[in-house]
Amino acid sequence: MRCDDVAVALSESLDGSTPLPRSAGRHVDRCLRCQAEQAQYRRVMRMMRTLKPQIIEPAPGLLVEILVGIESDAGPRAIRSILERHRVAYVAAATAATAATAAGAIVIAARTRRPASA
Amino acid sequence: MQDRRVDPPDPAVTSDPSVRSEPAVHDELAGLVAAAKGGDGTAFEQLVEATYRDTYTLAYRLTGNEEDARDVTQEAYLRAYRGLPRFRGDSQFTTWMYRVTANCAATHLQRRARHRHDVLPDAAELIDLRTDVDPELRADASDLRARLLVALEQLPPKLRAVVVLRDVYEMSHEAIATELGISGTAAKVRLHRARHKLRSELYPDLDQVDSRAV
Repeated sequence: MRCDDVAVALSESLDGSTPLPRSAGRHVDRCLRCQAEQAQYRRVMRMMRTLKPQIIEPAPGLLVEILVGIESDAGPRAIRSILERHRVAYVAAATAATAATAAGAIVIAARTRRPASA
Repeated sequence: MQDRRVDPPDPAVTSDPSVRSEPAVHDELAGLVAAAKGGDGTAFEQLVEATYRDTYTLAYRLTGNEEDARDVTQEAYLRAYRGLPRFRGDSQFTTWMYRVTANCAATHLQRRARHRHDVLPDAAELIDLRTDVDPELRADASDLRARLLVALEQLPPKLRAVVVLRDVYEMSHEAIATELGISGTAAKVRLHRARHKLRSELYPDLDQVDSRAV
């Protein structure tokens, strides 16, 4: 048996779903090349498993996009509170921004008028 | 939640934001599923809020880019919403979402390939045509994990889907074949090719050693 004949069985046996056939096992026991290959496969496999808990953060707005998509498909009866929360937050932010702009304008206007009255 | 950048090719990777135990999270999700099926108007959106980062992560790993991942995630939740009455609860909601997402990603990638009139053969050359991956960053990726992520991104989508679903998400061969619309044999062949390519990318030296008979 040659290393090439074992390659597929070696890869398939990695996750335990398909046991390594006895003849392939005997080859691996006596072949340093295949033992090295097996060890490398295992290291890659271990590394792959570590990826699962790693979360890739989506850019902001995805949650709202998903909910809006469902709302437009199924109607507003199912998706309400989170969208409402976002809408309230948006309105509050817009109101705050408007108020800040207005306050700024008043302050600037007051400062502009002061030298004239002095 | 603490944000930290881990590897050059991965955008904004963080550790799992859940600080509670896994069974507690699954119990909570099961409760939300039951409530959503019972007509609770806010339960499904809470399910989405609790799981969309996970779903997006899988979609990103399957498609390899942000735009496709967002589309696939949205499509997956739309299908999940429509299919929720048929979800029997035999598996966890997250596992079911993984299957729905894998199915959506496969459809999305097929549609995109048809649209572009290009073929995605299993044994396609390992050439990354995307411009959002910096070649210098790839060259500098020195540690194994970073190189693994690069190698994963470079895999042809058909191979990447199978190896991600099997080796990262531990999905069964049958489930992978079903969701990707391929035979079990094809799934196994693709899995072997993908594992072989990943190993060869990470450890190229061994491939230069001649095969021998023992």
